[in-house]
Amino acid sequence: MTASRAIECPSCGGALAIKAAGHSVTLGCQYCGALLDVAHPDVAVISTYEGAVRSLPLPLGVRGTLFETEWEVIGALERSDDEIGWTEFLLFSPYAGYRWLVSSEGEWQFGTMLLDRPVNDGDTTIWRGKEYDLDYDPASTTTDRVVGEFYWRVRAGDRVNAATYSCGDETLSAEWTGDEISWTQLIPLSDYTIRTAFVPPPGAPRKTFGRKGGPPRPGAGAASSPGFLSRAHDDFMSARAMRQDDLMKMFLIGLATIMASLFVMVGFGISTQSVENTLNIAVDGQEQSLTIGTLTINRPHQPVTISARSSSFDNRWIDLDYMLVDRATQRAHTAYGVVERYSGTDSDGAWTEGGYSATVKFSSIPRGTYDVVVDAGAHAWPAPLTTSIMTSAPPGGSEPGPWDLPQATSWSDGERIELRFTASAGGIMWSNLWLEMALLFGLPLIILWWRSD
Amino acid sequence: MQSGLSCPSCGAAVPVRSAALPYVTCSYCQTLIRREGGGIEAIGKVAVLPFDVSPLQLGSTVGWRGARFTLVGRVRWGWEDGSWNEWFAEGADGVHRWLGEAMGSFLISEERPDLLDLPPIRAFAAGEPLNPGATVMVGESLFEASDVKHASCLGSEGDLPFMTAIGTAITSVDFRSPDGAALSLQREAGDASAWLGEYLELGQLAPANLRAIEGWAIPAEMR
Amino acid sequence: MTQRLYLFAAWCLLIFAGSVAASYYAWSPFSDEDRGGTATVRGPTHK
Repeated sequence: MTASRAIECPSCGGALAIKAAGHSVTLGCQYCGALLDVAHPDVAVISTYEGAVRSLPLPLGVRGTLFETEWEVIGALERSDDEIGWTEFLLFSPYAGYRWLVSSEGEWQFGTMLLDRPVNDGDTTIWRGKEYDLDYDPASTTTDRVVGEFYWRVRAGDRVNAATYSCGDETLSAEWTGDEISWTQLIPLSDYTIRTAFVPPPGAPRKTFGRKGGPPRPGAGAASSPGFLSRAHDDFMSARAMRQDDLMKMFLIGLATIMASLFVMVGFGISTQSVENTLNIAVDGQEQSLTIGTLTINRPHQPVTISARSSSFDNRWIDLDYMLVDRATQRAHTAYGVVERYSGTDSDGAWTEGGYSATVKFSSIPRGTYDVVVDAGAHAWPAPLTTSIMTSAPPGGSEPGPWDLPQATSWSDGERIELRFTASAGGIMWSNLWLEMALLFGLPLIILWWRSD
Repeated sequence: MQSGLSCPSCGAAVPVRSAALPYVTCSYCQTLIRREGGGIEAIGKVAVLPFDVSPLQLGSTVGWRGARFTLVGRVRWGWEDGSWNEWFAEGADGVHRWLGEAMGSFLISEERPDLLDLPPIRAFAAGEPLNPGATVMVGESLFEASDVKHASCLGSEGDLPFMTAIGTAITSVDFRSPDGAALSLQREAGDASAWLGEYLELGQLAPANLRAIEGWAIPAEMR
Repeated sequence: MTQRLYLFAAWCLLIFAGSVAASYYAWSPFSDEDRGGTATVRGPTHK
């Protein structure tokens, strides 16, 4: 029989024992969830709880030895802020006082309230000679559930402002309402330490504490653990104790890698040689061929970028077949581009599509000398006045025949378009960069999304 | 010097732990006894204090700043959101300290009437309110008020220098400094007192003769 | 520095190495080239 004050829950009649008798003022009944005032000889109900009473990673009443002192878990608070939720366990020992165990995403911390106040200096806090840096802007923290006994008036719905400061693995947590600030020092504890320190009460089935999920396994020792892969997955996804976040560091590392890659791409992509030529092409006329120039690739590999810029036109398209003909072998690399622009009106108003330029890129052109040739063909695009094809009756008959085209306003006759081509050895494959960004930032984004659930 | 007396109410043998203290409580019948001159007088009853798991008991000893003290009496105060113990610690040559015990931590202090002259404290003594966050400089240290409690006496036990009737109302303000020093003010009716000391864990008080609590082992270094 | 941060940094290094190699060989999966190295004189390629 442990020294305690025995009471009966006025709400459900459950037998409760107050372990920190004389200190505890509030108790959340572990059977029915009602919040009780135990500060005075008569126990009063502060509020009742309607929801289901869920189990905790560490049950109340369990004892464990940490730092050569025996503690009993006498209370648990489930708390959360905008980003995550966690559980805080109140540990009590009559000869050592109170401590805290914080369980957040599978990670544990041991907390001690500070008797000597740290000194705050903007984003830094100094305590016992060490400097601690602010982890994040002060956030509002809410207490969602109160189970067990506590030495101050706490209830579900309590809101405080909180911020943490870190120096390596050690964290100082500050919480305040109005002018009252309380400070707690938090140091990490491994899941293994928790599981081996806290022994189930005699008679209870042996259970693995400290891990959410995983039903009790009869006969399994305290050191048994869930499967390696599932634990590795949990560890990977959760990775850090309350509040310290390496996600920002991940984004920064990703950003640094992108910047480095960009630097390399620009370095390799700078144009070493450029040739230009112009072609004047008739719309709906014969396909024309132009040799833009000759490029020499001096490196083992280089991209080739060919851009085509045209004079203005409307509702035409020019298809361009490019060839890089290796003078030595007469083999050609080919690519296809198109310059097109259209416009019209429909029920939403006027619209345009396309533009007056197009760029193609050849990748990995090996060392050699190449003639850059383009075959160009310009075509008119019949553009009806409205979107409806049958806008006007064809002349001379009620039914349109197969050769009766819709009223076309854009027949060309001798219209010519000027195309200026620039071919250069070199170029930056931007799509490579986008792919790289997706590969790099995808991972932290997935973690962020997973965490927001 | 230990001596005993007979309780005027129930006749039980009441140990007297401190010859100098006029008030003694009979632990059997809860009668408060005053010793004056050569006579003893039963004054009234004190409440049976509710069970608590304090590691301290009457007769425990603690050490602070080189001196050793014996806990000879206790007053318990209660306020809206809790209660705490004040242990009267008597040392050699009649020197005494108060050891406050609340929420698992301890505040040991000595009376400093000189501090009552500091302007914020003088204002408090005169009846002005003090709020959490208020500051006062004592020597080189800046103290900040961490809580203000309106408390009343729940009862007492053991030997005490004065009688505190149940229900006596006080306003108690605790200040903390960055190095763990403590300043405590108490105001009762028109009377105020100031106490200066520090916040400590039980282990730092080198305690002896601690109370045995069922189900818990006294740590080796405190035995 | 958590373990997953180290893993992520290793992953970034791997991708960066790939990016440097791609830049050196001027390779891209997104180029506008038509596949096939042998010369083909091609007619108009209609969409």
